[in-house]
Amino acid sequence: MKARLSDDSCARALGSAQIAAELIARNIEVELVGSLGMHWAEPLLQLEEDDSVFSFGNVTASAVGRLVESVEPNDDPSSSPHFLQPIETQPFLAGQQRLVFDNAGVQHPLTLPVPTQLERILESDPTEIIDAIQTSGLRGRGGAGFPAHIKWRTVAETESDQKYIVCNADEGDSGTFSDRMIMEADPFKLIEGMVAAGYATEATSGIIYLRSEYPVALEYLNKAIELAYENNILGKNLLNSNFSFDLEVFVGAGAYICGEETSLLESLEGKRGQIRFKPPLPAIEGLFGKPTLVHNVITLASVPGIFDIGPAEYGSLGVGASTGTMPFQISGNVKQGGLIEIPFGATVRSLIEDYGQGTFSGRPFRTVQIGGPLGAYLSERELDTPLTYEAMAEIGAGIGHGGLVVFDDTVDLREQAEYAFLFCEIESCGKCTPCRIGSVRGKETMRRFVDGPDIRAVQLVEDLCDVMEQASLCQMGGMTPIPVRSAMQRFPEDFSRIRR
Amino acid sequence: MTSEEIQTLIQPFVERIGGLMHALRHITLEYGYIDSGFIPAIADVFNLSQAEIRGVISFYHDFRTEPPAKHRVRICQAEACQALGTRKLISQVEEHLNLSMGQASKDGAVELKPVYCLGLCSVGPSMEIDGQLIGRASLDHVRGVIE
Repeated sequence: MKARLSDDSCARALGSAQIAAELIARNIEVELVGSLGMHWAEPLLQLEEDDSVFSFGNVTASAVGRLVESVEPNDDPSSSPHFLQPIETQPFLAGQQRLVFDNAGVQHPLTLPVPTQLERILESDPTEIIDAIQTSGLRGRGGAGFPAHIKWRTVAETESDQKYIVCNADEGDSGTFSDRMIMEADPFKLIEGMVAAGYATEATSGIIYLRSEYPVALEYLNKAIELAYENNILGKNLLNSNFSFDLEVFVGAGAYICGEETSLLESLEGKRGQIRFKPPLPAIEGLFGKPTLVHNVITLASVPGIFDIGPAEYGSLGVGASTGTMPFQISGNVKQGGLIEIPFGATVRSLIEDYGQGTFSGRPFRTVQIGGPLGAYLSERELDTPLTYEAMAEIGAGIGHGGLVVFDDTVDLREQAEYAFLFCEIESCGKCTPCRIGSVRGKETMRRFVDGPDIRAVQLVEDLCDVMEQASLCQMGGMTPIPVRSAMQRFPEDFSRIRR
Repeated sequence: MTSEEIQTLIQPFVERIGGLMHALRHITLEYGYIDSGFIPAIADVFNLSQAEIRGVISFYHDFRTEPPAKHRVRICQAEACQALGTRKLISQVEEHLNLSMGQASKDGAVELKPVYCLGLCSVGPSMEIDGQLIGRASLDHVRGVIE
């Protein structure tokens, strides 16, 4: 008998280590894999006996003995409360198109990419690689959605003795975990993407800025980088080409603002993570003043898939200028939380209802916040909006990092709006006044609505939001008004209710 | 620990990109905190002013100049966990430990701190006790470690 067990943070946080111990104690060979993204079923265990594979979800250590017995020839595994439909026919996975997460959950996370797309990439001219990125229409997956090829070309065309590829793995938005998942499930995907970006832009040094809240990702990244050096995927004359590229991991120290690229660069230089004025753009003057390509994890990890299916094919996926696939993440009060990689264009409703299967509590749906703490709270009637950059912008929202956080009818949007300001207060770098002071004033003002309607407070919040939006130096202060305003506009009843 | 030990520990990071951050992280990993008494020694190794070292330490949530409690509880306060009742969980834990969020017990036995996202949003509410990640967390998880 063989076992396959998730070793993702989610699985570990739900006791997968004890499950592995139980299996090993029974002399069962355990293959650790990343997560398939079916987090609602974690820890997920697959048992293989005589060429049949049986899947079990929400497994506990105490259930292992019984599950092992149940796959014996004379027993019936489907009678177990942990029994899952076979992975191949899981509706949660069937509709997905996985280009970034194709290997996630189906192989050991440290399986070398053979063959690697890099061999082909390193044989091409660097400008051809950038042209291919342009053809693919790839846009930054971290939140801004900026066309990737423009950054790549700018770095490539800026003369310098030293250039850097910096991967932003400071995934701080609540409701997002795709960066963590790929680093834990298939770290080579990211390494390949970074090497490709280095080759295209003539950068020879890569750094992954990883948040300290991700210890499992750190474990896998370190091992993957070591293996990549051993196998000449990193280092001098990699894959017998003329190109050399070094890569290291840099661990952050708990600061949400370091997900902002200039703040991240300051932190990488060993300083306080205070944001920089732009311009100059990091692509021209970035880390230590050198041209630096800063991309989030998924943007870089999308690169191998683009070359796998071809840039034109990739560009044909999605809708309009929102091309390719996006790993959406659904969480919060939802029955089936997890990762869903699909082309842009599905509706918000399909993610919540088809994949998420409604609320976890079983209570009525009330709102979904899309794109992290700086994202908008949407109402029920906006659920048919397609998930594209353009359609979301039309309703005053954004895709951000692709996280959807679902709330049932017990949510109080006044509390959420106050929290938006509070979070900004806690995580502001303090450099500009609208963000540093505005967040505190906003939080205080929000508390006035506890006592019921307050028209003067509404005006104050409006003014404050205007100032923060227009005068903040970065998106932290500039976008905090988005959750606040969306909550007040769409759920005014929560700001006029008398609570005490 | 002595200033010499600290300097030996952090010397390898001087030439690294963002060396000071590496150094502060490794001091924290080794000793649990950064004793203010060693700031002059750190400043000396990096040839920076003490004010610059203090500035970096105070900016990041992970760096602290007070020793940690024996047990460290961090509960996620962010939106995805809010949607799954973290506010209620926090008040239960506060009551159980007789502490407010952000406080440590006077005897140094336990501290309770907020964290903003552990990336376990799909299995929330989440917490971390003594470095161990916990999904679908409840008061029982805290009770299991701290009576």
